[in-house]
Amino acid sequence: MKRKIAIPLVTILIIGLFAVVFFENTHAQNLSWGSSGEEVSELQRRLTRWDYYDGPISGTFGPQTYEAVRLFQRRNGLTVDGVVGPQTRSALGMPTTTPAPTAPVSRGVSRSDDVNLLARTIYAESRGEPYEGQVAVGAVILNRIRSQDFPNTMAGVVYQPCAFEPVKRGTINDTPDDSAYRAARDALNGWDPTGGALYFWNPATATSRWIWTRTITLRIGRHVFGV
Amino acid sequence: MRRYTLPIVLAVALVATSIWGYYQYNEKNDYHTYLDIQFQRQFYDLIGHVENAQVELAKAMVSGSTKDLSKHLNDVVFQSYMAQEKLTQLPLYHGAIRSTERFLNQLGDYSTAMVNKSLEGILLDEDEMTTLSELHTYANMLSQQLIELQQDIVKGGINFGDLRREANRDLSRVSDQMEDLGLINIEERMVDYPELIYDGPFSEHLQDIKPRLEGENITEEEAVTIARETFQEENIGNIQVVGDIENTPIPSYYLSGVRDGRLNGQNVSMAISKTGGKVVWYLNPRETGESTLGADEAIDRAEEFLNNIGYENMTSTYTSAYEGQIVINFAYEEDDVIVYTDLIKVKVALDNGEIIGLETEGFLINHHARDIEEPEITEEEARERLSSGVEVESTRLAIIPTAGKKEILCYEFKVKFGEDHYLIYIDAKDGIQREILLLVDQEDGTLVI
Repeated sequence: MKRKIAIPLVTILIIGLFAVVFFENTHAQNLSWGSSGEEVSELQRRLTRWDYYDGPISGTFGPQTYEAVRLFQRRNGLTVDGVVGPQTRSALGMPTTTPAPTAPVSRGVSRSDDVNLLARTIYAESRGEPYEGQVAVGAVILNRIRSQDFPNTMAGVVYQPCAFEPVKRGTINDTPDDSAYRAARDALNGWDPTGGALYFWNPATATSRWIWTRTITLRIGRHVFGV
Repeated sequence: MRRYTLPIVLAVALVATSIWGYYQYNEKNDYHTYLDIQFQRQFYDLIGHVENAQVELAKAMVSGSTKDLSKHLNDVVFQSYMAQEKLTQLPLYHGAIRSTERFLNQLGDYSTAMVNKSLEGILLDEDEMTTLSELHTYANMLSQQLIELQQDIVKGGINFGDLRREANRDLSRVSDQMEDLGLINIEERMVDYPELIYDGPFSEHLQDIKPRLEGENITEEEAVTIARETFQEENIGNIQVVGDIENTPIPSYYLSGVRDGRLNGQNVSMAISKTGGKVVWYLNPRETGESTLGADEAIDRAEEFLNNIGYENMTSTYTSAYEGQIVINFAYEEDDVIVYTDLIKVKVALDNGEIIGLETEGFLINHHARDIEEPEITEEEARERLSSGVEVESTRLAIIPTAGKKEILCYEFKVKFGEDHYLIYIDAKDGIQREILLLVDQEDGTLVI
């Protein structure tokens, strides 16, 4: 369920890989009361040079610096707000931007192989089941990735020891059919017939007593799904 | 001479079998040892990571500045995720390690949330510091127990290779072994640890989300009628309620039907909410023939379908096509603000424009009458927060969800940097960058902006 709630945006780009890229410090930061660092020292030096400021070059933006900036802004016809934004910056002759990052030449890549791994698992676990049952198996794996009780990657979930029978038997490596691929894609695209289930089992073959302590959400074909 | 032939053949066979058997036995032992040392290593690593997490947590708590705090908490994040990673690779039965896994994950998530807070310059309050020290107590307890367990394993000669073999035979016997191992004890004590309430990812309390969906409760017969009316054009016959979907945010009827007409016999399935009688999902898994429709026609078709079943003001935001099908994402639009949380997906067959899939859970859970606030900063001010190296291609206002299940109004900038496109979200209230998404263009996926 978290998927639907937490980041529907993520699903917009579900096929792709999302890289979180930080463009930190590429744009010059505004300097205001409370700022500190080398840039503030530079600001104070410039203000001292033009007699707006007579305090210490402390590198800390305090009341004296604030007044000095306001004075500077007033005399130079800028918005008087005591904040060194882009305009005040250029009036002060301070660099308005730090150097732009060099644009990468290569393009982003996506982990499309997740589809294959998911399709193999679906095929091995639920061949012969109704289509929605296959999508449901895929959804359980994706729900596990998001759950705190399970590993956080698809490979981690699928290959977790003692988790899936076909992994143990090696049938996970069988080539999936079209239906399993379609089910894997539907699951990745957000279809979840189970409403957030984390477990599924076949009542006829399940050996673990523990599994029956789970809350059942629905039954499809031979499988029982639960949270 | 002849009477010795058989015994000789048998003797040779016996010797050959013995050699082969001996070889097999050795090989098996080699694998067994190899596997065992791998597991032992994972176990040592696990202990190491838990210990480190606990130490870093202790350091974080005595750190005076938010900078030092975030530095140490960052290490806690890394160490706890690594510990969780190692734990889940050990051949241990899920029921026995579930709360330990959750603890390690939440330790990482909680620390991440606190790091983010510190980075935004917010001081941690007393409750948060108390939570950190509680987490520290549990981390301490966990590493002590793991060390004891390690000593038992070394002393008692229980090896993970054996455990693995047992696991292959019988899961319930593994759980007995677990008790011998003492993992169950850890587990029982981990269960008591307090539920965390925080604004981080994967927060546990989010699971108890109440959907906004309202309406009358419907009967099974009404559900069948709704199914028939919604998919009028799809000619579905023999619609039946085949089950219930319960203990989920949107309890529903599970229905199935059979396509009439040209595509005779194709099974379709769907869920219809018991409250309000809305289609939660619909799946028609038919194979598609040669594509005759373009993406634009498919989007028109999907929009028309959504209008017919009562969803208005939906804007397509993203499409992805594969093998003769196209999935179109629709987000609700109000006053020129895209509301990404209210999401509906429609799947259209590209051979004849038929609707072959629908998914509305995001919309049903999140949609409600909103009071969208005016942005406090202008688009210009937001644009200044972007890196100077990017080229802005388009801008609009959007409501996006945060990990903590809040909605925030942001300026959405589609920018180009190098060869790639990104979506950057700048908070319309305080100008903080909330999210960056990298768009990976594939031959079959395009962002519609």
